[in-house]
Amino acid sequence: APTCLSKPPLSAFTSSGSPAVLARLPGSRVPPPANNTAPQPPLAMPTVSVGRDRLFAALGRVYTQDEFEALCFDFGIELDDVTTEKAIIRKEKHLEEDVEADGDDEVIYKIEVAANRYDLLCLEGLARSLRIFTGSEATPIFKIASIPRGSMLQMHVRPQTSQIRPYVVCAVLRGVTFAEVRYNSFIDLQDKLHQNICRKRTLVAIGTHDLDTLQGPFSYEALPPQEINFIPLKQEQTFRADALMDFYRSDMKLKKFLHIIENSPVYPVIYDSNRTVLSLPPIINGAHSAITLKTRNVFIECTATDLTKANIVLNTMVAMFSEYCENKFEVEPVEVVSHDGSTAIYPDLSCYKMEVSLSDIVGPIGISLDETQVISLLNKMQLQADLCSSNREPCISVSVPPTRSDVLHARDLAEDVAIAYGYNNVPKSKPKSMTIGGRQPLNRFSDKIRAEVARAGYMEVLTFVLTSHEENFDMLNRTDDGNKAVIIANPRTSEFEVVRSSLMSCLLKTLKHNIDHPRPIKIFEVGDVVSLDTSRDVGASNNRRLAALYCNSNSGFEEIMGLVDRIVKIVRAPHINFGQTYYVPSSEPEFFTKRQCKIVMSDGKQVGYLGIVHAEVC
Amino acid sequence: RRTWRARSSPTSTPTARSPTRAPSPPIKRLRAFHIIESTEPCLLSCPQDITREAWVLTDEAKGYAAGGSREVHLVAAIPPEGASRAALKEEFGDVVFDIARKAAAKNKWIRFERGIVLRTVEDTTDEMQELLKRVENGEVVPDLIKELKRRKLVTKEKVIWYSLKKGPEFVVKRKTLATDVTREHLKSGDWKDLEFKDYNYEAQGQPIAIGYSQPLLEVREAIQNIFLEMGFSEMPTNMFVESSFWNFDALFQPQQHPARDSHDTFFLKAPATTTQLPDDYLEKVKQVHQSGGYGSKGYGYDWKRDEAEKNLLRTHTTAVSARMLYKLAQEEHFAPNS
Repeated sequence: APTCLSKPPLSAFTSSGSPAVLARLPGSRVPPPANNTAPQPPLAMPTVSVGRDRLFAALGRVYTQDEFEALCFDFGIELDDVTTEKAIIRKEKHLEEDVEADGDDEVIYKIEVAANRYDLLCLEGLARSLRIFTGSEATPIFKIASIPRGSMLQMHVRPQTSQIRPYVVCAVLRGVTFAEVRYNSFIDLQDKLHQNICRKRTLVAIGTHDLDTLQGPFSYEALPPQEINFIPLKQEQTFRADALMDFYRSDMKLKKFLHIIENSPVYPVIYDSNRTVLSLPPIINGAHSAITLKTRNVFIECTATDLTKANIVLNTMVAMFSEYCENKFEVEPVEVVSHDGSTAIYPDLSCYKMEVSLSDIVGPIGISLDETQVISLLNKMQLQADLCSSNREPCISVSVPPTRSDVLHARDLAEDVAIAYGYNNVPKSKPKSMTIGGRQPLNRFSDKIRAEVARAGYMEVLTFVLTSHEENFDMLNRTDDGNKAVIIANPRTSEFEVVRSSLMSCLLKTLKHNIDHPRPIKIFEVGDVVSLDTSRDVGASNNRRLAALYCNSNSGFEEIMGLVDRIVKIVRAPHINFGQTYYVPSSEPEFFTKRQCKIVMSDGKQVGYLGIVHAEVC
Repeated sequence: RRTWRARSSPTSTPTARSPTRAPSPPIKRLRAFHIIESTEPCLLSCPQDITREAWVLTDEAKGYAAGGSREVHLVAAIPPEGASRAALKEEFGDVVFDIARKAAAKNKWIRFERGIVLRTVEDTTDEMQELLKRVENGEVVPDLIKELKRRKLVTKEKVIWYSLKKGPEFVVKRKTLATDVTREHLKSGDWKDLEFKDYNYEAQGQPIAIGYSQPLLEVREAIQNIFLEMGFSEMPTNMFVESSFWNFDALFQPQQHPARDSHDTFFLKAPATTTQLPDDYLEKVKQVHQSGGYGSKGYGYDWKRDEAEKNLLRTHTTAVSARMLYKLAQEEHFAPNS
């Protein structure tokens, strides 16, 4: 059985071994949290799929793939993949290369964009941004149609909505022409926004309707599900809202949104003045007001739990598609009347005005440009810039359009100027002041110990900080009194349930996986363990430990003792006070009785222990 | 076992005649091989393999060559009046009588009459004995060898001869090559006369017991050195448990951001929350998130304290940077290396 030694700051393990019968480790998996579906993919940049030829037509010229990649790189996006619709469908259905599949051979570009650029999530926005970047177009100015207040469409908000989904914002696009491609783009953008800023419809949900099928004023209400009846999109019969929840439980696309409202006593619902249901947010729209290719006037409503984001979403929708309106870039407003009588007009397409000194923009980048140059670079990035009449230092006033909701601070302007200037063109430079570096004393000390133990012929290992509860406690014959280990609330597997409170189980696990290694096996690790600690603000603290393990056909107790003697010798006075004898008998459960001892300083404080690992532990 | 027979004259070639016996005692063949191999190039330079085959008498045949053949004895044992088969069998034994009778009958030395064996001749010439003696002397008798073989009186013996002669480094007294230098050599002074056997440099040395450094940690050290050489000071990062405040909020990461999802962050059951947070700084952070400040527009959402108090396993070391910056900001006067 292995012998082990461990506790701060020195720990050493030894092991001797009858052909090790190390315990089986459980391979059980913890099921994913109940209220979510399958584990999410890791946080990735959103990808937009656009038809290559459509894109080039919108850009006004044809590029070679290399040219286009270079353009993307300069702008700060990336061409991720080139494929065809056929290939995509083939992949989804797992078909072989030569099997006939649906979809055409139109070349599709998959472009990766930054997660906070909602204006790049559809072909319209992407193409427009690139045209502005290359200088073939100016940033559009979005207008609100001038409609007298009294003639504006109204959305009345009932008080019950505050219980479940308090906010709603609306807008109208007049005189649009939807060809199939534009229609698909319109639907896709809603999907992308739902996935992205809307946090899967939990924060914001978008509903789009054929205005000509409806009659204003509209009302945004929250009613008990039994009182809501309508024909949902793509269905023929009427459903009651609660039955509809059950109906969609088997729908691949919609079942993951049910949880947002299904346990609420009231469901949000939007009616027109004829009590036609426009939508049951965030689940589904009504069939009555469904948009078709013939639709001319579009009514957009966004319900939300976050008003700021609702506005961003609405603005993105109208900014992207108002280019298809009869009056290009003009949006018709809607008045939202709250239950307390207050009113607001949406969309709020006002530009965010910023005044920034020239040095605040070019200084952080490390380039020298004058105002004119900076202004032209900002304009390339859709940030309307102008000289600002300030008498002190050169200053630039910037009008940030509703499409650039990601700009919050002067630093964001600096970033865009740097991108437009070209990151690769920024000159490298050395820091202006000299500093003297230094290491953390604990790390310096740890490295010396590590080198010493390696010189003693031990192999350094690096093991996981997270471990299973069983490995950390039961397998070492220890019990968890709840005051020791840091426990993870949402472990992904049972392998990572607690943060290790001892290096011993880590070394034993390493031994187990290398049990056929020629003898003697000598391994060690210097690393942190974590324990609960009420004296710290976070309630836990790290502790740097050394552990070493010896495994052979003899127990090797004296081997480990020799290692400990060596370490004591090199760290002792004047640094650490060890007396003449520093071994005291102990009785820890992970070792055989009378085959273990603790290591103490001259004041009796225990700093480690060693022993022959108990057969039950092995 | 075969034994060596060394010729007295090292240069003479062997013949089929009986080789002379060497004055030295016979040595085992294997040992002889060793001697030949190890003494090259001192003694030999042309060992030659010469194999000869010879017929040798079996022990039985040697007995006949020395004392006469059985059939002659049989005839001599028959008295003039003859002897009964039974009596003869009793005298010679069944087997011998049978063989002798056959041979004698072949030679027409005996005849049978009513169970009595009688002589036909007075004297016999022991041709067998003569023949065997001739074979023993090394004479080749191809036509008669068949009969001898049949009667199992001869066997074939293979003899391998080696021709040895003096090599270029012939010495009368052999010198042993040393394989190692020892204390005894040095102490006794024998080292002066030492001649060494060649080392086989293609063999491996003895594997030694060594310790190892973890390769990832070596890379880490190399990276740390790059920063140290540029004048960077190391931050204390030995704190795996962190609050959402320092890990996210102080770094302006909004509370609804997907990175704060339970899918991307390990939140803790124990210790679940941090209640000790710098209140004045927390207020500032809250303000900037909600409504902006310090040049920022802010996020425009309701910032919640209990979200910030949630503990997690640090998702990036930038959380340590946040703490360090706060500490630095408490200083009276900010300057590098202060």
